[in-house]
Amino acid sequence: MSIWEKIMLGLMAGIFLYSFVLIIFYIFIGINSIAAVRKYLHKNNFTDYRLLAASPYAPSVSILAPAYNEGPNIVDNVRSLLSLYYNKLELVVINDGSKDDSLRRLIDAYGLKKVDFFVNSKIPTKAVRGVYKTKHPAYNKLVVVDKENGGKADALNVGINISSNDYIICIDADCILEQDAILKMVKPFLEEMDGKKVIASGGVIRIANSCVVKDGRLTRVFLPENYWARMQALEYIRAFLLGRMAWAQMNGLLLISGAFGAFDKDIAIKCGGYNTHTVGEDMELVARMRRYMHEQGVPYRVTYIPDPLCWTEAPETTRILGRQRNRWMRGTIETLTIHKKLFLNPRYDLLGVLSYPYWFFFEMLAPVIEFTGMIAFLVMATLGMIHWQMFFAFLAFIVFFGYLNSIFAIYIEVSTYNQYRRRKEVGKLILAALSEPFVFHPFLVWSAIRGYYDYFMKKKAWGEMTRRGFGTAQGKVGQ
Amino acid sequence: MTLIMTAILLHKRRKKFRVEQEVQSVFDEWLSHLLMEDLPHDSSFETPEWLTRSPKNRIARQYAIGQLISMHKNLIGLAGRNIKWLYEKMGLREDSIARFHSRLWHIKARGIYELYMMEQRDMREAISRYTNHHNAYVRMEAQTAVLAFAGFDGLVFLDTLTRPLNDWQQLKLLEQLTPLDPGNLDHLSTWLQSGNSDVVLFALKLTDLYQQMQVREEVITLMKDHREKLREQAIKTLIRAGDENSPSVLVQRYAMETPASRKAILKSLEYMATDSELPFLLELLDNGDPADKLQAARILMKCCTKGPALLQERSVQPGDLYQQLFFHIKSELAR
Repeated sequence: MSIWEKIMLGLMAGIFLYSFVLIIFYIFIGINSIAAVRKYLHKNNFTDYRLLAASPYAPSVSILAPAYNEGPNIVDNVRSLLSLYYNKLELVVINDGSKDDSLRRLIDAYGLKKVDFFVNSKIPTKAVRGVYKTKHPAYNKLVVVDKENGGKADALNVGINISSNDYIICIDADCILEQDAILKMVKPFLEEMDGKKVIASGGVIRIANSCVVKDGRLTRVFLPENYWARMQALEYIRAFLLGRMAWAQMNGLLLISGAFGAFDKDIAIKCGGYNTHTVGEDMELVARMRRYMHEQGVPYRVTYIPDPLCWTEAPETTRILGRQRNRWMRGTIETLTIHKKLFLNPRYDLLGVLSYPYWFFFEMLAPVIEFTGMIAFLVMATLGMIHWQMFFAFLAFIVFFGYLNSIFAIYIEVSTYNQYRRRKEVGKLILAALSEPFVFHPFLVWSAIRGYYDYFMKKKAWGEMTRRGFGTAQGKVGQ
Repeated sequence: MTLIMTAILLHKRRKKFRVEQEVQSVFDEWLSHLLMEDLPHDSSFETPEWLTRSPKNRIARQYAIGQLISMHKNLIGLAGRNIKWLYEKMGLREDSIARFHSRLWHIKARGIYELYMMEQRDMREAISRYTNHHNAYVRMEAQTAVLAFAGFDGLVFLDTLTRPLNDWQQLKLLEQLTPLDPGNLDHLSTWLQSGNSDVVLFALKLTDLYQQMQVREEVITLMKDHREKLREQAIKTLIRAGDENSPSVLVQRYAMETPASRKAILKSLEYMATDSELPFLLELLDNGDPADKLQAARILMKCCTKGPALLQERSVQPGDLYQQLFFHIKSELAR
């Protein structure tokens, strides 16, 4: 056996071992997620969330909604957020130096006036140009901040500085929240167990493409018609109902989506707020808050709730989707690099010995390993080193395991929230799962590889995200 | 296999949905018709065939319980009594009791919920044994049940509670007690000295909500407690349960407190400070951090006779800070 053949065989053995461990992880996650979702459903089976809405002992919440060039939809989106059911609520909309007429539209629609406002810059940010409020009693929860453009993380930091309440819920301004979203997000903060402080809570994001939206509210749920959006619907079910619920159950959650997450403001400030030097600011904040709590020696939890509370529009073209995944990969690399101290560090318990290594090996390195595997396969096939019978056996095993994982996620969805009620839609989801290993997944791997390239080229841009908007309006976001 | 399970599940869901739809169409009409009339509170009432106690009617009976509970929540008087009577007459109470005796925690909790929602007061003693149960959810439902049955008297479970009572449950119990007359709250002093810090916290909230001045000394003692959460709540409680000396008590504590408790003290002073606190507030205004300065300015403006003039005087001094603070508070008060 030549040295090259030995190298190739070693590489294949490594990839085999990697796949084996990954499969074990997936099984482990699947089992944990069932336990987590079942427990959540049982314990909230007959919960009356309305109690929270008006209680004097309910925690006060500020929703932070950064907006950049959201002109066409901003007024409707804010109206939708103002209609959320919660008494001790403040809505802070941060206009991040939009080049369009977002601010003017808000001023006109809500009768806003610039007010004298002392900004306590607990977190350093770009300059605030003005704070706007209205005397209209129906909109008294609304605070609009106009600031110099500094990106999403900077806008959120301004929101943290301006907000007056104890908890913050950070959302994307173009998301649609369910009416009881705040009630459900806040409850985990009141359920501290075993003396563990709840520092953050995440909520499930669902895909709103093809759904019916009326007056800023989602009135009917449909599975996306567009293939790429449908694949993301499946991917989100798998990621949120299986992955994050399982990690939250183990108290090992490392990511709360930037589109919808709640945080203890005091801890977020003590950690220095959002990091403006990464495109993965959502994951980075959770990692930093967790690290801070560990270093302070304070027992804590990061929770997750499986209810579908936030709906967002998914990219429908490979161009936009590719940019999004490129950015997500760069964000992951940046966050894991910043917090490399956690890697296999027993001082950080599960976070150090399990969560971080999982993200490192199976989220960050996965595309590289898969890509390397494909190259190795081509080389070995050329050199005639492939034992084809074994190759097809392994390929079939991996592909069918992938199907099993996806169909299991669909099963959990059907048995719990069952958002896609028509039998035809479940069938379409299963069909989507069948095509995933050959179309969607290779595309994601390629986008992630491009993310690596851009990371090493030190590209920091978010990449423009064009959205079709709900209904007929056309919107654009991006920073 | 997962595919087959998904298909079976879908089929079962559809079947359940169909049964519920069928039951709904008959049940709702039947019930509203029944409730409009005087129900025959005698043996002549017969449970319809599709609701009798049999395994094939399981979904229908569970649906009926859910519907009756949701209607009972919204109806009072005769209609409410009729719903309760129907629940008992149709033998649905037995279903709830069977759930209450289940060994699975979530079914047991559901059983307790159904029993107290349908005012099955004779179950009070049996349920009250679970107010200190090791399972948090069974315990919470049992505590809610005893309050539903006995109002403030049901709070006796606090005397013996050794397990946690989380903030959510405290909020739930307080909301449940809101429409009721608290009476003398004789045990309050005992609860404020309980070994269970959650009981103390809950008692502090009761003191606050019902302005129980008779335990003021206990509240002041708790301001020196080693547990921060209790100190913080004691500070908040003093706003409503305090007297004219309370602001000075708070000011004395300020220097010894943690940042969170300091914040609570300043928040409390906003509602109770007098001219006597002027030196403390001015000191804070000059040497505190920006958040403290802002709060000190707010209290000065709201509570001290000379506060507005002193702030205005400072606002013309060199530097932007005092001016910003002054205009911020002015704008806030104008709204």
